Amino acid sequence: MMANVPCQNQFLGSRISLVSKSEIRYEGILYALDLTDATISLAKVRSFGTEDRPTERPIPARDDVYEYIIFRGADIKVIDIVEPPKQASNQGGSGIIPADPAIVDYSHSGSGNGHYGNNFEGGQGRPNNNLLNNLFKGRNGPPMQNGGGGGGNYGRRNGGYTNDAGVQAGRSNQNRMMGMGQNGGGGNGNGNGRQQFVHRNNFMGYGMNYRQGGYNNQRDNGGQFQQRGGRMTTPNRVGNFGQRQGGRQGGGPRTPFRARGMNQAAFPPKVAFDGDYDFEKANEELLSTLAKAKLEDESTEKKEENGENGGEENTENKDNDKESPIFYKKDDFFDNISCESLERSKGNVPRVDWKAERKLNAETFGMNINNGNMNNRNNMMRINNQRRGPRIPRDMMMMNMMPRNGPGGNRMMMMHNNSGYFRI
Amino acid sequence: MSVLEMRGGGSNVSASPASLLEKKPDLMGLGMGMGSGGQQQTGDWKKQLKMPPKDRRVKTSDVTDREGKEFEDFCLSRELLMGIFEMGWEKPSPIQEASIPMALSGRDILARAKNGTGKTGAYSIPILERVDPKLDSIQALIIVPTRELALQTSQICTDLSKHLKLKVMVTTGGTGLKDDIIRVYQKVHVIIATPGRIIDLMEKNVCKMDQCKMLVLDEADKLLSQDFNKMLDKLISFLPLKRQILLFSATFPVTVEDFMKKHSIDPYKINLMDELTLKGVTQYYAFVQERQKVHCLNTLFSKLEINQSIIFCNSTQRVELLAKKITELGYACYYIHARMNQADRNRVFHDFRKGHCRNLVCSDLFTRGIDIQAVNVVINFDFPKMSETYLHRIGRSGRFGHLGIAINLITYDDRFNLQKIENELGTEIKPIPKVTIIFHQPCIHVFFVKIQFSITITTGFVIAGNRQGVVRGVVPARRCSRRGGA
Repeated sequence: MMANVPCQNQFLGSRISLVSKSEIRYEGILYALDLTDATISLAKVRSFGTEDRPTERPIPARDDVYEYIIFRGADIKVIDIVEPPKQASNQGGSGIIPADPAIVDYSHSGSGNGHYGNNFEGGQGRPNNNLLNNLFKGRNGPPMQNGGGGGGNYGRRNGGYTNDAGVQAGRSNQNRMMGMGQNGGGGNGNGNGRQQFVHRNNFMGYGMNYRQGGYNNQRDNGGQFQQRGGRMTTPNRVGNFGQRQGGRQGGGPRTPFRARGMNQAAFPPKVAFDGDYDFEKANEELLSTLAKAKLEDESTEKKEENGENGGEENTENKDNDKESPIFYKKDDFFDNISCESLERSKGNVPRVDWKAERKLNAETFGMNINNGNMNNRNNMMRINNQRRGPRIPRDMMMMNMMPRNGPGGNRMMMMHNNSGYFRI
Repeated sequence: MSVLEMRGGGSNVSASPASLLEKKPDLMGLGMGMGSGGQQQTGDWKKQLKMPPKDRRVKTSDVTDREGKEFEDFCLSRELLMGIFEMGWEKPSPIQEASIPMALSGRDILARAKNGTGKTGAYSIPILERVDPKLDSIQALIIVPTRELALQTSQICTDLSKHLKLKVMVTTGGTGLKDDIIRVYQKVHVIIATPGRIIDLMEKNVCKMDQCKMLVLDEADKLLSQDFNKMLDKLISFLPLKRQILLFSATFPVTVEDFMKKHSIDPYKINLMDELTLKGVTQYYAFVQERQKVHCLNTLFSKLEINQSIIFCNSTQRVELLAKKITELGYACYYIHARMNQADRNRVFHDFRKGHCRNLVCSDLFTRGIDIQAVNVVINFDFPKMSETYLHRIGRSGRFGHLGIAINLITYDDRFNLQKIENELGTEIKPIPKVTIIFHQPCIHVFFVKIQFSITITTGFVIAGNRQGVVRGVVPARRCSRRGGA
């Protein structure tokens, strides 16, 4: 996929020790390398602080184990392999958890955002794509096989979700997680450890302290879109479109909700169109329609003397019809262009016609996006109420819900596979 | 409209979305030591200012047609001048030239200037100058129609008054009343507020307005529309009789006149709008059927050089539906509308400003005043019914005389509205050209400036943004090919 090819190599699963430019040493399991982004992702990471290395800001070691940290290659000073990968650890989800007494608990891992974030964020400039590669070569002889590589391992390890993970490595972390959420039933059969892993929201090194403001964890109910597309976007928990249910959420995906970087089309489209929209043709069509309309108008205009072009919709211009079609003259200061106030002063209060809007929405956004299930709907409604969202007729909601599992989910996964995610 | 405008200088740091709403670490190196900088040696105080990098982009005559005054000509205090220059505003924009001296004289003002040409600066500068920091009372009140706009405006006032010993406070609905009350009881000189909350505070007798002699209505026509009208009358009843009222907007329907007659004494009228629309914003339409809109938008995404875009829908529900659709298309987007809770709204606003996402789908909540310099494309996914709405919407791009484009998806039902609006605004909306639109100006520049600047804050994003910025033209193409393979 685009720019972020996850790299396969035999070091995945190794226990890595790295020292950042801030002189802080971390140890964790090599989870992914992204050559394009020049990021390196470690799982089960501990920070050993600055130890004895000379630095301006000594940082003590911490007991916390971070599920997941993405490091920027450019900010890494030293990388060492402490321990080769365990065979088993490539297979099962739990293998990724090191036999490390330091690991206190999975649920313990949420702390320390700010701290880490700050440390990592000192670096500037863009990462050098080859940096990691070089680093590795230099230290470990065998060159890594990079790029492409079918992503076999990657995919396998994570069921569905890695689709995103691989693609996005380091860039849109949350996408990764979203993928996770979205694959729901299908995808995460593989290993809890993994899941945990993915759900971490401490994405250090990647601009993480951005969440310091506090909204990191507040998403108690997951993110709407996020769940469904794996390519979410909205940095908030509002919509909660696809929210499945609290339990799952609670267990895992407290993902920061943000679109990392502006991935234009960084995700595989779930909906795709054949070819571009033909503006020219459409516009010609309009012109011809308008030409016709104009003819009709002219006849009416003559009657009304100087009326304006408009048919039905132009009621608000009554006054102008009589006078002149001048809506704004600098000297007059005030204008006569159509606006809410003018409308209302004439007694035309805009009315919301739910039925019409529903119809319109169905037309614009399609009816058959999904065939939501009860779960979804109930949940939806609840959430919707919670946030005092728009009162949307029920079936409307349903219409737009994405099933999180079942046929919809599968379809989604297929799309991932079909979309060339794994082949590059 | 009003916000960024003041950013006269343009894309600079302090103006960067990153800085808004966020207290930065002393990024600009303006040491706090300068707080009372006025006392420093007279001659070279300017040299000590840490000014943001200059914005060298082309600007249209909407902001360059100046009389040639300088900020120094207005007899402003040095502390305020420092704040102004550090915002990156080099010269007053036309509206600022016209309104600052008048407002300083204490006269009521009715000012009309185009979107994004410096209105916020035009009222906040004289107000901050006239407030007496030694008096412990609320001396000026700025009312804006939306909460996000209030945040934005207050950030500007705070930045401008950085070296003044002033307390600026923002209070809006959707936040805890208690905190606001506590803050009001401490010393506050200038309040930026949305009407509901401030009236609440006045009624509770928390805000004592007897010394508040300056009232600004930003987006005055909106505030005086039926949505707010009664509220404004009420609000004014709390003010002392001797007061100065400043009204600013880009649109002034005749309905505002009544209010003026009632509350304002011989206001000085400033009108800098020879025509209604911005010179820098090119407007296009694309004819679509309702069900093709999403397809059309998808194509636009792949063909436009979008730096940041704002996409307008006509209802909150459509905002959500579209946002979801867009993500399904594989593009990142945020969305915002008034029915979200405030914390979410703030987050989206803040993050979008910071450039964390390229596209924002919104309702008319963001139609007025919101100033995000990196926005170069406005898309009317749903065509508005009113010219006024249209005018303000497309004014979200082309801020401060820069270039931008507006694209309107027109359905058969919209056809008359299209003509009507074109006609009423006296502007031209062209059919979208067949070739890929190459954006006329390296808007990415904005982005870079912003990004480089925010490096210290969140490097991670910076990099992502940077790289995306560079590749962005390429990405859609690749995506197509991938899709083809699928």
